[in-house]
Amino acid sequence: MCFLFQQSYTVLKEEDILHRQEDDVTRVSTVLSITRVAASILLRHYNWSVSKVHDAWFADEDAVRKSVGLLDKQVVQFSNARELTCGICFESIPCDKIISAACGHPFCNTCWSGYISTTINDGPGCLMLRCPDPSCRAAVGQDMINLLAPGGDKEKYSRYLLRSYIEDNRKTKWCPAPGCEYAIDFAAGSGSFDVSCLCSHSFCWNCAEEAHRPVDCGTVTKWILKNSAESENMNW
Amino acid sequence: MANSNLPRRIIKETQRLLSEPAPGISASPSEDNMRYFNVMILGPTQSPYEGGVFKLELFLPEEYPMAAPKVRFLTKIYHPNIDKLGRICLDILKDKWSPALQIRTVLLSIQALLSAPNPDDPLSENIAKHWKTNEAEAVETAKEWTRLYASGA
Repeated sequence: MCFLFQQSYTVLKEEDILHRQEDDVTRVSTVLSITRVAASILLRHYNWSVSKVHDAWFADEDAVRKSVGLLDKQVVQFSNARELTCGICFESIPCDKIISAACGHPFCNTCWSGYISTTINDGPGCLMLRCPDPSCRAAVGQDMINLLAPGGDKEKYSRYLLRSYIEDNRKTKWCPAPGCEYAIDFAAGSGSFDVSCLCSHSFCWNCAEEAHRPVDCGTVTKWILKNSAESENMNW
Repeated sequence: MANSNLPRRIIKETQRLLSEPAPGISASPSEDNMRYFNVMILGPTQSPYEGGVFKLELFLPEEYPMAAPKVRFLTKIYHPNIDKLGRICLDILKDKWSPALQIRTVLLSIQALLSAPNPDDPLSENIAKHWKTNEAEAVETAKEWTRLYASGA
């Protein structure tokens, strides 16, 4: 007689990850009636948990909007002037070359581009980008990035967004095998932590060491420590 | 002079710093390098630094305003967020920098830091410890240092 184990995990390739991310964004965007860009910013803030976004939003939409930086009206009103002063380079710029986040703080295309590029090259913190005005918390989403970031930086931003989807989500992890680009989605509650990636690497979901069923993770950690400690060799 | 291609923003900021200086703060560019500023901040009233004149240097790196200015105290000062090399622990000089901030806002923040030392986020461990265990005595030392090193002479 053989036991049939229901597989408790799914291996995700890059296109699967993108697909799931898109699906989650669509769900949030439809349910909350907000743009896809706003939905993506929200999900990013709530570690890509659709249910957490829904709970928080329906509990107190204003508080969520405030903390995430999704303003529903402009803070700064544009005058009818044909030129505005950019808050970064201090030059007078024709209005068609001035861009603002939802808040309305005016900055010119060139300065936006420099600001966005600097932040992207500083690391994944760029996913939480805000308006450059220090008193303003308005979020800057991927639509503005795509409009204003130099070519290579757009690509970097997309990579960070993809990585964030796997790394900030409690249910997913990258396969730890060197060079492997697959991720694992693990359904909690099943008995075994053993996971086998499409790259043929088998590992423990819980401690990321090689698969070690039926030994528990604590024992494995001790064993590895004992193996690696020079003095244990001497003792033996 | 190698200042011919100085960005308009730096020129405008400099002009405004000179024409309408913030109270208790003076900043003037060096003659041979318009990106290097000699700064003086008066110790705020009702702080242990009252009566002191503190010299600082401020440098605008090539990336400014995308990168923060580099600022350092030249006058010795007893303060939990300033170390013995004069380096300053202030969020807007590091990760909270924004290109919409200016030299003026940076110097005002430093002046505010003198009024409100923050021993919970220290740069000088010893001074911060002193501040937390015996604030009255630490404040006395700060006053003493102000008299000794920042009396403006």
